[in-house]
Amino acid sequence: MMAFKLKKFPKSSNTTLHVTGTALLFVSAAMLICAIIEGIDREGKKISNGATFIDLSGSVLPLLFASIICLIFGGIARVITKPGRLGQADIFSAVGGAWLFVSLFGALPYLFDGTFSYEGSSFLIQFADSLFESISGYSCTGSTVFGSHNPIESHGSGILLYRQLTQWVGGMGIVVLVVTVLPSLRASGLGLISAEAPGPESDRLASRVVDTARKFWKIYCVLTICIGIALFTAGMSVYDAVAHALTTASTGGFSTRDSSIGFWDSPTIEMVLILGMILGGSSFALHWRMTKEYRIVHLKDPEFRSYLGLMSASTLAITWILTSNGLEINEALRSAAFNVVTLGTSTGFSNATGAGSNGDFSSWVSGPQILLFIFLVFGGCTGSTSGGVKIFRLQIGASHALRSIRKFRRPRGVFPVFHGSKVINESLVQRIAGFIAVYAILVVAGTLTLTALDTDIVTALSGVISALGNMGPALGDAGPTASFADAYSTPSRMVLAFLMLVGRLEIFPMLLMVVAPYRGVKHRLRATKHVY
Amino acid sequence: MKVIVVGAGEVGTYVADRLNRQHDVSLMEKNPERFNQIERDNTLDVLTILGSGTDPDALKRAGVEEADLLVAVTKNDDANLLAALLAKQSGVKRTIVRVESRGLRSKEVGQLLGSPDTHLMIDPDEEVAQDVLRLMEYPGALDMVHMGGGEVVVIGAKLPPDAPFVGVSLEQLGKDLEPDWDFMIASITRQVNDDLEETLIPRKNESLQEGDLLRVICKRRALRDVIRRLGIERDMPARALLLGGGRTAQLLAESLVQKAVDVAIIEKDLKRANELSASLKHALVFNGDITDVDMLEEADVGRQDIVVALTGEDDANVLACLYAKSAGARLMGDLYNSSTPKTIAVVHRLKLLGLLDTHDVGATLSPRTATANSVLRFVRSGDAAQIATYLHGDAEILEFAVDDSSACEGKRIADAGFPKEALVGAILRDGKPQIARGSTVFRDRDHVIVIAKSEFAESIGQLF
Repeated sequence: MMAFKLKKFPKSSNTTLHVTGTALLFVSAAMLICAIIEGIDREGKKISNGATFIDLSGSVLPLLFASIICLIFGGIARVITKPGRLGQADIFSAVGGAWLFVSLFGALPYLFDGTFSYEGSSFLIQFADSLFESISGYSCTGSTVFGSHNPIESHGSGILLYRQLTQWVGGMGIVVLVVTVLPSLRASGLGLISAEAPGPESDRLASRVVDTARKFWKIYCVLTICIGIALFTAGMSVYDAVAHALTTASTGGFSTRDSSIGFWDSPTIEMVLILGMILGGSSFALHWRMTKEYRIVHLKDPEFRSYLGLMSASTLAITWILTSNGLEINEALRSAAFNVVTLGTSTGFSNATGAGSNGDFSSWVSGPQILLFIFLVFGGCTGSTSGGVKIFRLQIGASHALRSIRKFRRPRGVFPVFHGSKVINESLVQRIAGFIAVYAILVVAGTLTLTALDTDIVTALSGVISALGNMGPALGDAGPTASFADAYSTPSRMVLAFLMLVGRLEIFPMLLMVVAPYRGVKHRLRATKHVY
Repeated sequence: MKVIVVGAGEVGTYVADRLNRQHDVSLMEKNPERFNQIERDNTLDVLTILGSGTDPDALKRAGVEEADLLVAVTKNDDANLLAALLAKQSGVKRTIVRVESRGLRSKEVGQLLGSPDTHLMIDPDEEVAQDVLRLMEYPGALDMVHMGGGEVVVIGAKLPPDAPFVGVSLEQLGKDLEPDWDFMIASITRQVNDDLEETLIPRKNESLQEGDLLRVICKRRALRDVIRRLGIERDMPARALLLGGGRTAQLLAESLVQKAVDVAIIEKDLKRANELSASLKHALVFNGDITDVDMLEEADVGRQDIVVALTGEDDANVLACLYAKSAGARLMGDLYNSSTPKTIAVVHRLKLLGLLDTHDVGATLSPRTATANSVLRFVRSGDAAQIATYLHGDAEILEFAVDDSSACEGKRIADAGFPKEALVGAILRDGKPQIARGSTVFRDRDHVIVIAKSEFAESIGQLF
């Protein structure tokens, strides 16, 4: 079948398949690691129980099967193809294809394990839930269909670690990971990275693209390890520290506990996480420069400054509102800071100890909720693992808007768009303006669809923005303590899952995958008309 | 002294002409059309050579082996530097290079040309920008030169009808100022008839008239007093409009922005306008023609404090300045407007200057005099430390240092044997300025500032 495909679409589709295949191999490896860890975990329990036979129950076998399937498909795709030259269209098909297949195959462990089989769930709903969880994981969103009907903690350590690992792999980008092992892509690799990496432009950290990709992953690994050690010191178990480090550095937001960070109810852990999320949500190119120049370069960067400034200002504002509503100042500051940062970096952890507790922002008065809602749109910095529109884009969009007003008064004036002291290229400004417009259209269209599928307006609107921005929790019924399985119907969740993928790939690659075939069909139809 | 000038552009021809009065000049031009034009015009009495300054053969034809000085002033930085390096290799001791790029003005590049006293890098745009900046502070002044390390200022201005100086005789002025003079009138340039203006080094019996162009040598601390007597004021503008976005405008805008002046620039070329707006974040840049009235109105020309026209086209510069004045007059009495904008126009063709009533167009400047000053200063360095030449009139201001081998050392000024067409203006002794009197005695290590008709400049040099 693969050979047939190769014959039909020679060369150009080579890269798509090759990249997708390689990506699946990484996914296979991730599943294998989790299977082994669950095996070891069970082995440990078994020894303490005094049993003697090898225990392959739980999620060990499902993970193993899924791993083997990924290995077979990925292996075949990789072996029978070789990367070719990349045009603009191939870049999008490669990145989009890789993500689509990774999400699909990534749902297999949940499906085999029966993670989402509970009373009253048909196979179709099980499949939809598995896919939702997989996409939510790989796209680093952090929305979950686990809930009170199906508690997270009732599942095996392997499958939960796999869930955390999907976010870690998706955070820096599965394609960036692929590029690190494909030197033959050469310069076209940068196109791949740009199509996937958060933000409108990718900095080269090294003269070769492969080295650039490796450096990104290196910083990412170091950051994850540091967060893990800090979390362990702050009082988490080794397993939890690793699991949460994976979703903090990637600003994903999955947790191994039903009440997320609220389980620990520890200000120290929350402080560590706040710092970790801020670092994960800021530009990795800045982190890299810091290690090279031995000084904190972040504070000179206009985007990072706005990023930090916005979050600090909102934290203070929310603290003030919460205290004036009767909350004690320490508690108010703690809840405000954690929730602002978790949404401002598109992570989506929750420090709520339960529905209606201090950390549950969906139970706050509406003022702070609106402020948090704005952060749902913002996202973090370009070149980070965060989602959202990105501070940089919004800054450029705002300058562009301001310039239009000035231009109205002085039609012959020349007003470049500045970012700090740097002038932003006009074509980039146009692209960003287009991006923001398309983003807004998607939000409106998504909200319309969801309300048509019988969701209330606040839950629909915030859910769409949250999915597009890879945030995690939303407002209304989909608050930080709620499950998406309760808040949205199954069709609505599929719409959200699609939006997560669209948002993770920064809109254009995924939309092109939808639009381009349509145009192809139209061309063919027109050609047929001409013949007859 | 044998001098080679490379590049017969605006600056090159002017410098060649100025140097030709005392030196043996050959002028090199590589563009045949321009070369023919100079040959045809026949206004330059120098040896013109068709060829590039970067071509060793052409340099040989220009006489590089006997030359003492090479002045490379083409528009091309690299060509200028290469010509200078070639000349240095052929044994030319001193070089003057026109370099615009900031990177090339660095110490590293300078070292290629030898020690600092054997070469000079000039930038005509920078010189004009500096001149304009000085004039902005004193909008009524035509020119202002700082000498003797800034302790002495030579200011030039045309006397308006209501100036305190009008009608004052120099004898009376001298008596008023006794015992310690803070300034002296160095030269008077006066319109004799429609075509002719005459520069004279004043003596006691002269009296000042309305419309006289005066050059006053004064101590720095007396500047305020002199400005008042000349009937001009000191005023740093709050809003400035620059017409034309060349390099001069860019340099000027940078300095103005630093002084917190609100700067707007009008530039014709869109690409250049984009460049300017990118490098000058705090300036407002327009893309339009400076002779387009709508454009000028959009830039609020009548509400500006000062309008500087810096394009390469004299007519456009003058027209735009005239329009700025009229627009300002129309807006008088407006809520935000208390005075018409001051205007400064850059004029390249010296012969046009006579046509301009300087009261209407405001101060006018030429890039070539600005450059020529630097060149001549360097040529005479050794005997004259600093020099200023002027667009109006043919007087020069020179600065000399007295040492124990000087002919004039120990003599009174009156006895030192200065020609009638020269006047000792000020003496700096131990860093302190004093206005020279006939009875003052020259001492070792004095710095002397002299004003003289250009043709006497060399002979005065021999006294020191």
